[in-house]
Amino acid sequence: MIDPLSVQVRSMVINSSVILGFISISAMFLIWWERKVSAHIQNRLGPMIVGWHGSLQSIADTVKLLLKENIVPAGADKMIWWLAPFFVVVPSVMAFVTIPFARNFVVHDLNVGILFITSITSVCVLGIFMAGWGSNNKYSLLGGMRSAAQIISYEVPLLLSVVVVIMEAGTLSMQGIIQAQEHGWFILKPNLAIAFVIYFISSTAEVNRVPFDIPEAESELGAGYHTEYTGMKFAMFFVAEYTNLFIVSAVAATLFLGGWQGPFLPSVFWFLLKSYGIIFLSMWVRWTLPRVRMDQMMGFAWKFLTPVALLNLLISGWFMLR
Amino acid sequence: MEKIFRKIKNAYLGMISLFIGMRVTIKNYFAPSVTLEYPIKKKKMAPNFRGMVDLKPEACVICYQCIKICPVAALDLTHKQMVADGKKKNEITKFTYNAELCCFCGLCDEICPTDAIFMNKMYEVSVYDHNQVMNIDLMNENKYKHVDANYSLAAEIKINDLNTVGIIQKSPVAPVAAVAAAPAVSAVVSPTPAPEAPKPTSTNKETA
Repeated sequence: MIDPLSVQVRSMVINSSVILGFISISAMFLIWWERKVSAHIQNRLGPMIVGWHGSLQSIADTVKLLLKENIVPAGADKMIWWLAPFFVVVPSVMAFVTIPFARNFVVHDLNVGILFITSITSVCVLGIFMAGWGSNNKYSLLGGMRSAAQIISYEVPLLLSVVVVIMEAGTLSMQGIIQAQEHGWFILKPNLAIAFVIYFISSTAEVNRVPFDIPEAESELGAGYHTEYTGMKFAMFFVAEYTNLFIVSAVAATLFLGGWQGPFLPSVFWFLLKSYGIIFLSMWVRWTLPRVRMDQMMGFAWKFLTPVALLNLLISGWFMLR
Repeated sequence: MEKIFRKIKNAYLGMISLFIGMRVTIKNYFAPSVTLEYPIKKKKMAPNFRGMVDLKPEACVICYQCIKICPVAALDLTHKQMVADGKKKNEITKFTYNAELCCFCGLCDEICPTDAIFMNKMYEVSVYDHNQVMNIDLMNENKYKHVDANYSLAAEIKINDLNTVGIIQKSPVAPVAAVAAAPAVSAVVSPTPAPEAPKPTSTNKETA
């Protein structure tokens, strides 16, 4: 006789270990890939020594970070400083709960899936601000404040573009959104294509990437909110950054590119292909554009992106009423 | 209204410039790398690169020209007259080179009448101790082994012999017989070129 609770626990353990394994491997792969893409765009070679074309470089870096000393800055707000990395990592891990990797693989297909992801990833900003505040460092604090302003501002156009998709699909469930795209991806419709562009720009800002990487602007703030973090705590910020990048790309693939749908190949392959394709686009943009100024960025969010997103919402609503 | 139009125009121009920039970056993405995996792959040095002073011991005629011309007195040469088989013969007793004094001007290389003294292509000459580069015995075949394990006198001599930069090459006289032997008909249709004088061999054949 099988105890139903033990089955539940077992499935929970399996799911969480699969997801944690995927997160760490994906983050390490993305760090390596980012270095390679940046190197090739700048006509360099990038990491070449460790493994084939430096493919094991991230593992070497992880080992290095694990062995590093954990330095607490003098005058730091210890509790907040210590908690901040967890506030950044945990939400990004939690967001994986509703990401549909394949036709039959989603940890829990909540009926408010997309709402869950957007709300849980918003918690990251709290961790970043805590890191900035707790570090007792003016650059970290500036980085944290900028990050809070940026993420809260860009959440508005991002959600407005997601709302268009929800209107079109008629459901908040991630699997439901994919099933609604059975007869054509959402990106093929003009109003949803605009929504995709808005989503892509806003998500770039959400994950603090160039051209919107002012929270960690190297040339202005040292490294921004994670200046004072060393060793594994720094690695947690780093992993969270790349995990968030994967999440926004996976959500973009789900919302606009039909998720795991695709011919011939297994569905998980299609999902990863689309997600990493969007990540590559993000990296490509990153190594093309310079960083924007703080006021330019805020002005762009509130004066341009939000009105366009609202207009797009209006037009989509009119399309649906017609 | 005009403001909105300007805004839309700005956004449009921004998008266009983004696409142009992305085209440039993707072109560079697939372009070959300009950097080298340095310690593993090394660049060939220029033909006239002046590295460490090196010597072909058997070519030296003990004329002391290099000692005289050396502006920093980095070279030190002494010799002794020896009698072998009833013949008097000069033999080098000591020929040392102080790389710490050397200013790498290349005058010894230029002045040497037999091209015995030359400058090799070594450029990684970091050592842990001054003594390792202070009194280098030029007569020793493995004089730079302690600086660079891959050093080989024979290879350096070969590279030096291939270096023809600055040397006026006398083109050998084209054999007249070969031209005369060419059939007259073909000479009219397509004049066969006289066998060219051997070109100076490529100077890039250096060991990596």
